[in-house]
Amino acid sequence: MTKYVVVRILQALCSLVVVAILVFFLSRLTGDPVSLMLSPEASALRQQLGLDQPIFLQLADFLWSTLRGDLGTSFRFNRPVTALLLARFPYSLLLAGAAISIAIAIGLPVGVLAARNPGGAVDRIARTVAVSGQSIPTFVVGVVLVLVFAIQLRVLPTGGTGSVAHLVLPALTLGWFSAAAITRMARSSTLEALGSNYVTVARAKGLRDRTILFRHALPNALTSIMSLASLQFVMLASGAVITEAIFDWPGIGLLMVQGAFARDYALVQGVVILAAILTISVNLLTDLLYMRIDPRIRLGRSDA
Amino acid sequence: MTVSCADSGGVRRGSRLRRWRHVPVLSLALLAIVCVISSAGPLLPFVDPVSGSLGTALKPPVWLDGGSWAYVFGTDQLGRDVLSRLIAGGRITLLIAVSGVLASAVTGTAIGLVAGYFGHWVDAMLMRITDATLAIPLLVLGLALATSLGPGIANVVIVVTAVTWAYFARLVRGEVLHVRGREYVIAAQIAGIPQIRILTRHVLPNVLSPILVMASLQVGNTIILASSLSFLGLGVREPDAEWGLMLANARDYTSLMPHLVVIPAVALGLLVLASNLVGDWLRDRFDPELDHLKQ
Repeated sequence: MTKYVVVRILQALCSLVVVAILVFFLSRLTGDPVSLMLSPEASALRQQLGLDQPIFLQLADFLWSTLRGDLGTSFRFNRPVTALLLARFPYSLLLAGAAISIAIAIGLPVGVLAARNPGGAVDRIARTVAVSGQSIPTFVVGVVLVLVFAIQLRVLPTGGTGSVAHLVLPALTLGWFSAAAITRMARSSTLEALGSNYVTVARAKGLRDRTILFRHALPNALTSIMSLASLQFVMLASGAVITEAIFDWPGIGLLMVQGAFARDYALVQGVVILAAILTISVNLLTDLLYMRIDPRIRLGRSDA
Repeated sequence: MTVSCADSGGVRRGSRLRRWRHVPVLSLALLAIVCVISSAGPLLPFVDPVSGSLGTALKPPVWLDGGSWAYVFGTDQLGRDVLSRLIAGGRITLLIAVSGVLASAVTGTAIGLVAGYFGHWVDAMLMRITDATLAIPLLVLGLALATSLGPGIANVVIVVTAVTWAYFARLVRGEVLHVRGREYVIAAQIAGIPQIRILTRHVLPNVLSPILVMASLQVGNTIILASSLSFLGLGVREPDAEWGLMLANARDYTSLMPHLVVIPAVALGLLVLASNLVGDWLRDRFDPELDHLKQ
């Protein structure tokens, strides 16, 4: 099993390096940044930024400084990228946390109740929520919510930070999609748990439905629901670009948009690398954790 | 199919209609309508998404006071007819979706085929690139690419392809791994048939079904991605019409003319919903066991 763990960690590190390389070439696709800023003859600036060196030296330089935590300087904000990311990241975390809480608060009960009465009213609602949640683009939800709550009803602000009220609409917008995914997952894993043989035994023993649900079925269903929730969380924390742009929420998503508009390559690179680090590490942790808490997977590995 | 043949003794009344029970008729109808209107759009004389003057700006739709049938859905802030822009936008959205998914499927399938079939270091290398692409959130990667490429319809298609190919690659690789050990592949290898031929003639047709299902599921994603990029200003740009772009423009006028926001919002929501429902149906029909395709 340790071999599997080591292999997974190495794979993750490898993916990170590949991401860094991809990102490096991404920015240099359409010529170097200097010719965009000034003119192709601006050799002094080019030399200063080290852009006249052979491409592989630049790549090595980039990888080495990224490893040390130096992601360059953003010329739009005139600050080091790493400092910018660290300053804005807590906001993204806060938004993602609020969003995932809403998603779980909606998704879990609805999904579980739907599984309890398959084909019933709650089930139909659950499936509608799931499908529509994953079909409606985030910015549509955001703009419509702003229209309804901020403008027509005037109960919530349209953007910015400062109070809990400012958190509500962005969190709802962001959590909408996750709520759909979690509803779906909750419904299917609870259905699966309710169909397993230990539940049949429990029913044969004469236990009440509610006891069966909460003591036997749910704990088993929760593992997959929680792992989905953690994956969703990291997706929300690193990729909430649209929501942050709509509501002017100062997280890394908004940073990405600002960097993209200003053609600030250092900043864009930095956000992509941060997002990749988050996603890869949480995926890895979830996999390893899953392996630890589910003995079936652990034991299954040895003869895989 | 075999079951229903064996069961044909005693055909029940209305059984012909029953076969249509699970087919998402509304969604298919909606998609068909959008396709027809989009294709016919440029040929219709009254459709004009581009020209407008400030004199006709911000006219209300026909169901409000001051509206007229000349501008059924009203006009936007530059005086352009919203209905025309809706139709033109639908055309561009469909264009991007179809070409994006096609290019993405072709690229991803090619890479997945090579990775799954040849294995070893080729597989390892290609899969690391695939994993790296999948590790970055869709829109973050899309924005990063759009930063370099800039806005424009062609660039949106490139961005969409570059962001979604990895889904196909991973899927196809998995399927190829299953097919690789089958007797007909081994027989072909022993017979000395060149590898490329084996890949195209024997392996590919057998992995086609999941690819088609994935493609239909990716249409919705592609539409969301493209309209998100346009919404942010890095996708389709003026004076072309696109629903995400229309929504972005309409944001400034939300309190004045909410219909400018609601109309593209509803259009986008319905289109993506319809394509997702059709994709789900195709998946259920072709292979109900393909649970791992559920996103």
